[in-house]
Amino acid sequence: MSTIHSEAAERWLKDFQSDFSKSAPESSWLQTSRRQAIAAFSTRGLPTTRMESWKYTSLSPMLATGFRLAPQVEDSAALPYIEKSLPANRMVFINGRYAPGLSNLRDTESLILIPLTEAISRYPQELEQCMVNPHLDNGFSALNEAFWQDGAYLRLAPHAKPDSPVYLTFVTLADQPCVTHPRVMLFIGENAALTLVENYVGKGPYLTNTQSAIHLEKEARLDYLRLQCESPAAHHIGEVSVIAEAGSSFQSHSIALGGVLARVSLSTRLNGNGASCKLHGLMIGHGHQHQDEHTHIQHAKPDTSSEEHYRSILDDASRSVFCGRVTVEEGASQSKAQQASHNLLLSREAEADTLPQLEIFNDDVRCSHGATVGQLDETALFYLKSRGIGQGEAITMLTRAFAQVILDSIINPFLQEKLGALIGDKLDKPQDGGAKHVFFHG
Amino acid sequence: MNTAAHELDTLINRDYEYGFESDIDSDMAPKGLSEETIRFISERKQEPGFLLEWRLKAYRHWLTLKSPNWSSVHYPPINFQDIIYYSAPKLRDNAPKSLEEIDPELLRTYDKLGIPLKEQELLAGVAVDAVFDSVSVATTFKDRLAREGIVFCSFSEAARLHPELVKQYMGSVVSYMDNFYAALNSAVFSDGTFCYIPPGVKCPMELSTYFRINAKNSGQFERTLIIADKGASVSYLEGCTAPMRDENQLHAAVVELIALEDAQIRYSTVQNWYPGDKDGKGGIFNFVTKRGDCRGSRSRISWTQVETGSAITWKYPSVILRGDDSVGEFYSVALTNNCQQADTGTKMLHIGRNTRSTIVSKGISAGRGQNAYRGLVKVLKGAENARNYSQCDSLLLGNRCAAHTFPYIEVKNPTAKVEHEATTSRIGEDQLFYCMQRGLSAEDAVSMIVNGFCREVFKKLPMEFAVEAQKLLGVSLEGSIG
Repeated sequence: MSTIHSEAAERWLKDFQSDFSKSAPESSWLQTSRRQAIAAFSTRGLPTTRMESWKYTSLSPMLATGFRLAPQVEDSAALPYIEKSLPANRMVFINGRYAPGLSNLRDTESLILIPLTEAISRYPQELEQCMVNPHLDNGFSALNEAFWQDGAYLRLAPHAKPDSPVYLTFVTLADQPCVTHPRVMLFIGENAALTLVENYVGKGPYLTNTQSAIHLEKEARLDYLRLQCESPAAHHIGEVSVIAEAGSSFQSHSIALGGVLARVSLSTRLNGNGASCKLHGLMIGHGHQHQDEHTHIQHAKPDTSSEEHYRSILDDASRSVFCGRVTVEEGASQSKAQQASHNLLLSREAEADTLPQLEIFNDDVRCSHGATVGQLDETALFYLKSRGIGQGEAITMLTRAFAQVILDSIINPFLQEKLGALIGDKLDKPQDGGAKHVFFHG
Repeated sequence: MNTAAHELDTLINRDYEYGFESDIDSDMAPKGLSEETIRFISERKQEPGFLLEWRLKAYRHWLTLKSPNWSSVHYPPINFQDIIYYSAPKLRDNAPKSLEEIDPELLRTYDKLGIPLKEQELLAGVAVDAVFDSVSVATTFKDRLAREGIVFCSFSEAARLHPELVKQYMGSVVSYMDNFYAALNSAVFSDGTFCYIPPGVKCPMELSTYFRINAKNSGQFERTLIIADKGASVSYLEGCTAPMRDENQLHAAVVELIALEDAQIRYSTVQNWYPGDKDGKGGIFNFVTKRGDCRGSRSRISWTQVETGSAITWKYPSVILRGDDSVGEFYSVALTNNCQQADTGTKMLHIGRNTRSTIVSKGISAGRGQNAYRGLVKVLKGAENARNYSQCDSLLLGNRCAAHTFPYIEVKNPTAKVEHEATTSRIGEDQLFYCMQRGLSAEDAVSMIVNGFCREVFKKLPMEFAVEAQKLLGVSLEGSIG
């Protein structure tokens, strides 16, 4: 670790520890887990570009910032970021804290949607088992485990299939640089199905360091839409880990629009026969935005299949990093994996780095990946122009079409339409950044 | 099937054909690495002073480096003090002036390897610079080449006879600070091949060299430098076999290619060093730095490699596409069987305008073999209209082998067009069935399908190598299915 990294790590730890206050006394396992996480962070420190998985994403520019834990703010301050007409299943967090006035919880037999702190007092044993991570292999997950304040807990009973999606919105309002550590835990029961939207918005300079853990039981199904619309001055580090049991299917859309530096790592373990996943991603960069998406799909059991499709559109001096690793373990015969990464460069200063990776330990597989980097097709541009469409409009049309491929795979038509509009806005008026993008409820 | 399986067994279990050791007096440096060793080597080779200075600089830099650990190959730590860094067949007074003067034992060794120097001179039309351990013993066809103004000799000879060329080009592509093994090689390199093609000359024959690791515990540190001056072209072949040995041997070579304006270099390798036995005991560690520099406009460098040997192959023949309109190519077949590991690929660095590169990599894993393609395509800001096409396919034979693909693509210019494709699969049951239904044995069918899989690469090899490579692949694969 370089000096700048270790100094920042030390300062952050000291500041966070002095800022940290518990809303209620915590059980001993939780205290132990926080202590262990602090110890893990002290040894791991912050990732540097000398680490293979952080080679293309440098934290150095943000390390000079003296982040403090986000203070509590009035719910009303978050109103501009929340739609007025509120749907049923919704949870809002402001600066890492649950905002009951803006949320609409569900606590029925089929669907439990409650704050994580409440879930811990209700199901202490269950959460002790799944929340304590003995392998804190990177600094950010250790920080989250040490300093998380609240988050969402969702449990969907077997065979339940609610019609409307569940929304989790995380708002951060920062006058001074601050940090939040939200956590999300989702349990989808056997043969249950759900659409879930995780949305990140905010104002000012801040860092969101979030962790989501998702467990799909047998034959379960989850459509997971992760929408990162952080403020233009924000940093976003997100980790999502998914375990998919036999026959279950996980579909995700990770849409990265906001932030000055954002990194999402999504790891999916296909843990039972016939489990499958489809991961989609779209990164749009303007100005000096840096969008980084890392994915890791582990085929652990036979007959598992995965599809992955990530795209980036980069203007100005923005940069995208895509690293997609597919591992087929020894026992995972008859597995299929497909991976594609396509990157569109719209400016001379933009840069795309893409690393599709295959690690195969079984011969009975069919795996492939493809990657392209380039600019808009000249002949397509010429075709449009020859039909009287102006240069600018033709570029917009083709760029939107390039993004649309990812949106087409969103199943929920309402979400697809809203997201299409949002991305159109971002492509047309990039200077507004993510802050303007209020989330779309019904 | 039973008889087939029996045949397979005999084929798998057969010993490494080229495993013998020649008993020749060697003039050796004492074991271990120090400034004294380096001075010893330099003195033995009667090198000019600048070379010794360069070696010492490299050695001092090497001392500051740590052995790299990012690859996907695994091996026990190497004790660099337990290696003999210089071993030369003892010379009788002076260097031999003709083949007759060469130690008859040595000549017999080459015969066993199938390189009859004398006949080759007449029949094959190939100039051979045979490297026996560390000193180049005989160089044929020198006269013919000399008439064209071509310098083709051992590295030590070049350092004595053409110090200005060596000084100008050595280390200009692979600096002694490049990486751990390149630094080590720069400090202790023993010998290798030097080749200079003057402007406008098309080399009239394929140049070739056979490397052979002999004396026990002597790691071999080749250094090859090929320069094609303006408008020149050359095709160079490299092939290797090594005697059987229990201890792991280290081979850390450096190859530098320089192509000036309109020059072309084609570098082909067939590597069949001792891969270790069935349980992964012994075998060569092949940690090589190979890089070409397309320095001039419209120059072209092409790497073709067939890697079937070595316990561990770890190399990335690369091309720096500096000149406008220059072209880089990489064609590779890497086969790992038993416990072999390979981590190989290429780097294409696009700097000039309209530069183009093609990467075709075919990995075949059998037994417990581990095969990884690791490659970088980097397009820098000024590389207008750069174009890359990469294709990396892996074929898996057996359920204990592994195949990995790690491409890195970095693009900083919007006019660039970069495409990468990779697939991993095993031989289709339908393909096998089709062949066997027409009367081919399972073995032949697999061999045929694998050869088809590698065809694109074999096509790029010079004729005599293509034949050898196909045979090699067949032999290396036998027994991996059944």
